[in-house]
Amino acid sequence: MRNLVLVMLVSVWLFQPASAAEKTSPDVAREFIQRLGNEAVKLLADKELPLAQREAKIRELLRGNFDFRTIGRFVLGKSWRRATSDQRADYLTLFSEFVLRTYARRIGGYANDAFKITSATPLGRSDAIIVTAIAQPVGPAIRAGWRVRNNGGNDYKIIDVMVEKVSMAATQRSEYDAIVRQRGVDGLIELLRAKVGSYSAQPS
Amino acid sequence: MPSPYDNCRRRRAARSISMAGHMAAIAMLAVLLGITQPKTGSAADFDAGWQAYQAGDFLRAFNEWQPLADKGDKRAQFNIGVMYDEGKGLRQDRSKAIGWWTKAADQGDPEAQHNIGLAYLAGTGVRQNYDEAVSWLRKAADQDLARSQYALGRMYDYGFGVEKDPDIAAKWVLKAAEAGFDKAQYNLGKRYRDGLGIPKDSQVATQWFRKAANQGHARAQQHLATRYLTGDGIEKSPTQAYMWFILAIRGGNKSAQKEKDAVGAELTSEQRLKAEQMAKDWRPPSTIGKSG
Repeated sequence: MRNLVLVMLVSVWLFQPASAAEKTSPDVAREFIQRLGNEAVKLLADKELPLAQREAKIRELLRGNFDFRTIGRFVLGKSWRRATSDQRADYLTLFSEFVLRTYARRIGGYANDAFKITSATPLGRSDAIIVTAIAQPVGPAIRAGWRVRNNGGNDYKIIDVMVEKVSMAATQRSEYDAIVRQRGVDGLIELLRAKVGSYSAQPS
Repeated sequence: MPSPYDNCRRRRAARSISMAGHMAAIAMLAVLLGITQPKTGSAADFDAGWQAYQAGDFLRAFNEWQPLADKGDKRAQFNIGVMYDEGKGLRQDRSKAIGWWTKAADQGDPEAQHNIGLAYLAGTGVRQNYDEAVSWLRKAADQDLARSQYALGRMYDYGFGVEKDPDIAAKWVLKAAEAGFDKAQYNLGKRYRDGLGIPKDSQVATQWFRKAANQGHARAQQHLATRYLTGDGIEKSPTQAYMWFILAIRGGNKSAQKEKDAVGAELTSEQRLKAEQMAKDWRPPSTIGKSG
């Protein structure tokens, strides 16, 4: 438990904008997440599409709404500065692919359940956190927090996801730090390549 | 990475979503197209599992595939492995995934061999081991699986589980690129550009960047755009450059934005509109290597 609290604190303190970002309005961020959720629900409702295509559509929807450069840099931590430009480019491509693939695979198989926004509050110096609840047929709703940042000119992007109050980015940061120590940045890149390169279910 | 949706998977899978109507429509379509065949035994079960899987009814897919897998059907074994690996309809269990994939791989299933190789590379479900990773990837690569050929090539680049060797790396990447795998084509473009394990050749580099770009590879699109500006191995065309920058940005390559704006400022509004229209109409002509 102590570790979880630490991870949260690390996330709140270290995940500061590189430049002075515009203040993120919780109300606008709420609309942004609502719109994104509505679009996802609409895509998932189309059961005529094969699963792989539903997942691909979800991936494209998320791609435009996550700020992968910000997340990827944060997650790589101090190794970012030491990485060569080729390593950075490879890492960012694979990291975003990995995150998109993970979420799309998990979301893509779902039925079109409605989701509800339960709160929208400021977070840190310039962000907002939008908490959503996804109803389940049985058991309590699943809650997730979406950390949203206004990159200027109302360009709203997701920069972190909190599950059970734990920041995904901070969790990945400590995981990747251990890998880079053992196997270097190239080892991390190869690991991400392995994570995104597997085959999914095959027809006969 | 855990997801906010972790817990609802099993419940969701337990619900059959208007499957009957869906299946009836598919059956009718098959009759109309004259492609129905009497389905008996394992084929029928496998296909029913596949239909259920596509509809997101993972529990039913599992129930169709499990008996086949137990009887030794390698495709069913592979797919059940995937369900455990991705946690689809089942609690995610990577070591069970490896168990099922091993059964399929021992029967020579190349996708299963590939996935086991990657699991050893990443250390998911097994203890991380580069030697094992290389050994499994090689089995699949020898069966002409393009992704495995590419992954094996990269192992030679980094010297993971094998002696570093850019020449052998280039040989495997070339095989994968020729088979149409977009990442290998992009990588091969860079090899020809830099002379990495292969003689430098700017024109050939451009051709491989173009092949990957045509499949929607965003970084290859950015490289191709830059080449249209510099005339490296290609005839200069700022309009083409502008179009490929637009596509690269659309594909998630935000770093192309500055270059796009710079080129845009040099173009007439007519040229810009033309390039924007071309980008709008553009569709990847091929999707080889993008599946799964």
